[in-house]
Amino acid sequence: MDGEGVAAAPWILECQYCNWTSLDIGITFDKPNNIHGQLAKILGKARSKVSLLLDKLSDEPEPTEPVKAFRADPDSRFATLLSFYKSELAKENPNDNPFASISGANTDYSSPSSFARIMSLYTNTNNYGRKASGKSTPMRGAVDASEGLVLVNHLADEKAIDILHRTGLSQTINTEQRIAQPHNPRFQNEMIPQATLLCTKRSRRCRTCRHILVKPEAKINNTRYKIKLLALNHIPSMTLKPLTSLPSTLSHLPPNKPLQFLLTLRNPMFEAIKVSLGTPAQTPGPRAHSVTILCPDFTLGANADVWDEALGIGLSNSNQNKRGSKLLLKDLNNTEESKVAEAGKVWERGRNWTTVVVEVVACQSLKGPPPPLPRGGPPLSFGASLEGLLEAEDREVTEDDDVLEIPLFVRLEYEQAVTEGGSTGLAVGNVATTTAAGATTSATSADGISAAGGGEGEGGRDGDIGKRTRELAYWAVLGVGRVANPSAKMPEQK
Amino acid sequence: MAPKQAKGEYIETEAGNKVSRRSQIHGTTNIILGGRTVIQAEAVIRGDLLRTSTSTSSGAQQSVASLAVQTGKYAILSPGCVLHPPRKYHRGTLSHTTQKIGDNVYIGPGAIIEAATIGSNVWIGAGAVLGRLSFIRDGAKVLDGAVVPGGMIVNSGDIVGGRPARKVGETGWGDPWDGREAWRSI
Repeated sequence: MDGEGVAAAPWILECQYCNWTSLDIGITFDKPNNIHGQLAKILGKARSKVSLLLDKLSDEPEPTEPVKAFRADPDSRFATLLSFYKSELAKENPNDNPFASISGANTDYSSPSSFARIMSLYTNTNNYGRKASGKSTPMRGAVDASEGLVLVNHLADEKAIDILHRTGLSQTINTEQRIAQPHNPRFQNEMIPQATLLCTKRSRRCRTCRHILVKPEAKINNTRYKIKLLALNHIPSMTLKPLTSLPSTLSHLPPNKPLQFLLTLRNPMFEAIKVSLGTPAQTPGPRAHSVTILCPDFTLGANADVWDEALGIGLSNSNQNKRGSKLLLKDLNNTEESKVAEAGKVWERGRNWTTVVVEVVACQSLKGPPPPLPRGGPPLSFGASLEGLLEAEDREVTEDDDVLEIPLFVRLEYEQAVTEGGSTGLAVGNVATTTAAGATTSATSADGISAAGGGEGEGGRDGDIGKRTRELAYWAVLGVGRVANPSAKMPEQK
Repeated sequence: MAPKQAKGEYIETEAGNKVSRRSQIHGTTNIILGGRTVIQAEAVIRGDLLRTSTSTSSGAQQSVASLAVQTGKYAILSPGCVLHPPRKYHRGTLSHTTQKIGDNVYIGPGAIIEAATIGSNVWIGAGAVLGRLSFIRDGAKVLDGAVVPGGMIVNSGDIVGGRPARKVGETGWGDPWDGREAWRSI
């Protein structure tokens, strides 16, 4: 919504999507800024006029529908009732009034004085406590609208029914709109514009070690983060791409045919990692695609600084980089040779990345009644298997049934130098994995990264920089693509 | 992304901008590309829509700030998208304001952009429509087919979608989208 006008007084709010303007509800503004304040003034004016009854008596023009509806909201009624009871109590015993400290409608429950008053009601017996033991005097209740009494208005109900008769349900509002409005309106023309909520910047701490993981900059305009320790930056990034260029796009994977994909893991850390991958032989979900990782155990070389990489320092020294240079030579030799994927062999390896082959046979038909439990592979304690079971119970063919996703259990083992500062703040719950296959992106939560990283000995704590083995295990989901539907026509090959 | 075209599809400038020969660019003198920007086939940039000033008494229309569209580094304009400087009525006459696009911005195929400002690391989905004088702040994401009404401000890090666009989520703390790879692959 936007303020719109020709640089002169009345301004209106306008929605450029649905062409609604605030003129529809009879609200105009005097200036183009501070819309919220002006709106509060327009509606607040209504509030100060104690009641609907008095409005009718006053010689002001008839208020518009939303303003009228707003005046009957719980807040203003409460304010009216409060002021009524305050005056009544003051009449009863002017010098001992528990509500004396409350100033009209501006009751501040969070203020310390209010809090002290409430607490003293329960603890002290010298002041209010004594009074409670005494005889209470009867007090009259509110009798008319100026005192906050609202009678059930049959006329309003009849009017509402009449509107429903005339316009049907089209003029009514939905639940979402009703929740957003403070005054419980019924029809669209009773709604009032609401200010947008302000954004908050949140920082995040680790639940176990209280280390700050994410902290935004204090400056309002800046969207950067002062601290950003994401789990994502401490686990290998995964990309998946087809080994051979598939005949069709990834949104139409041919079923019942072994398809080979290259899964590349890239190590962001400065330690070499031992990786073990596990996957259920058949994916859970409505269709049991069979998945085989040809080389589930391999190592990832350590990452190095960008400068080292650029200057070629990393390749000449240190023991594990010797292997890197050897491999580089090997890569040079057979770059264009057609390779065949072999079981138990790494497809390709770089300084801090390794590629293995994953073979997938996409299944077209839906699963049989008993969901096939995964043979081999790690135990499926994760939600995926549960989902599979549930889905098998009451299976419905949904839109995304043909999406081919592979649950992948990743276990990392690496040695980390122990410094005096203790562990790094690697304890964020959510791990999102994106495939570069261009087909689908998927994210999964691997709860318990922090919990899983428990296999750390307390060995090297004797002041010196020791090494200790860390173990990390989590589940990830690889999105591959969609399985082609035999009934739908395949897209033409190019 | 479109399949790779035959050689010579793109004209590469000194600053690394890759401009498709099949794109339509009007008013080239009023456009600044920040370098390493990709303009793909059938993308349209309306650089001819300048701010017109009526302040001169002679009445001759004169461009004050001769800038219609400005992009940052690694802006990727997908096929068929339209960059249109936002219209503005200034003292009763139609004028346009400069459209500023930040670094690492992806604009999906067929998107129609009439936003006043798009921040850095913004991802705009295919077929999205950004209404006139809308503001897309840094790191925001506009989903495919979303219609952002004119004048709407999408806060930084928000994901908006739907017609009309509403906030549906936040982009989180992960590393934002980077146009480097996309630029290299074209």
